[in-house]
Amino acid sequence: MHISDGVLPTYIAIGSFAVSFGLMALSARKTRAEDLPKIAVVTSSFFVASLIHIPLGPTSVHLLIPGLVGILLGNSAFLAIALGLTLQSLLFQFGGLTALGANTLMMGIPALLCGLFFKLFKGKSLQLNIIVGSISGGLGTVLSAILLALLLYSGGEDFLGVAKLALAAHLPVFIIEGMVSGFTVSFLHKVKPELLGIRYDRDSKDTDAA
Amino acid sequence: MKQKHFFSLSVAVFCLLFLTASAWAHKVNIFAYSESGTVYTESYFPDGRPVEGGAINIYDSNGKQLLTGTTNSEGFFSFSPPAQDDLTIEIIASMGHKNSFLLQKEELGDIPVTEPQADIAPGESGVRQSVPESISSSVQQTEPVNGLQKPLNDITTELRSVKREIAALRASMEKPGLDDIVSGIGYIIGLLGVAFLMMNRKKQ
Repeated sequence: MHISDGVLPTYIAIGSFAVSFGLMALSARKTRAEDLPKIAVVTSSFFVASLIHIPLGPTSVHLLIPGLVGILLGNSAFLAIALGLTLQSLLFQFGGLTALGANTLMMGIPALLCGLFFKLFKGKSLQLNIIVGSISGGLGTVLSAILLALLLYSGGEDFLGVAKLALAAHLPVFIIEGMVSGFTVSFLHKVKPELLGIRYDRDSKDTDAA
Repeated sequence: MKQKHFFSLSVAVFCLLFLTASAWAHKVNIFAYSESGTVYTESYFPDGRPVEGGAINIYDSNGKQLLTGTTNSEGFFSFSPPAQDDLTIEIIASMGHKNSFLLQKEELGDIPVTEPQADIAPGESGVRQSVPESISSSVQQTEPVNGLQKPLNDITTELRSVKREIAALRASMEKPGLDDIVSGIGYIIGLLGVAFLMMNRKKQ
């Protein structure tokens, strides 16, 4: 889903950089020093996730996990995605450098939104958190696909056509991302709920022993 | 089904899904080489799958568009070079993926000054054979040289394979490798480590 060089009109590319820098500054302001190790691990996962490829007929799609990054990092997610995408562009040539601002917006904004969604709807029970986590994960990619269509529309492509293609082509990705997020949330809920921002009494009967 | 069994089963199915997925993801690659007055292009995704129905645009050294075409089901498109010039050959695959390959004019060899050949006209799918042996039948000689016809054809066929290998090798050097992954993770840990130190120092 990374946009390459030369696809977007210049004013969009530059504008995206400006907005990205603004959001990065906001994201940095809300980051605490003790979160940095967690951010490093999640950024590394995001960085490598795009290498997992799902073959799909005439086209090819890959895993992205903006939703999961949002769930795990909350407000710092934008910074993590910006860093991950920069390194992907430099080292893997995924996405052009001039399109970096646009790509960051395309995946960073869904991450922030999904993080918010998870924060608002999470609860104390395992089942609820798995469901909310899965929805957030899938939603992250859906929103990214929509933003992709919007960005390509600015370059003159037919929005509805690209949107339909992007959503249809990434349908397996939505499902798989939902599953990945669900599993991760479930695992963390049982093992280290503090990472999800859940503080609760471990001996409480709310939690599922399985 | 007990919850824990369902969970383990789901994890197993999930892992199987990943095993079936092949390695790399997202950009589109193209390379091109010239042989016997025809330029052959191949477009593919990093995991090797061909780009079907991708749009090909060919530009000269001034950026003027000379030719367009579409890749066939094997990702091939071939054409007769319309000018003795550095050609920029661009592939556009769906959803914002684009790449290009610069074919130097020295590589084009001598181009016969004729109209573009009908069998590889733009807009048609590339008709190039993927098996090198079948190419020797399409190599044309203007006059038979005594006893050297067959060796000449053989050499041309071999040369074609070699050129293709070199172009493919050049293109494959752009694939992400393990060292890229390791260096990326190193950068992440390093940069965030520095940030951590700086933020801690401020506290003191």
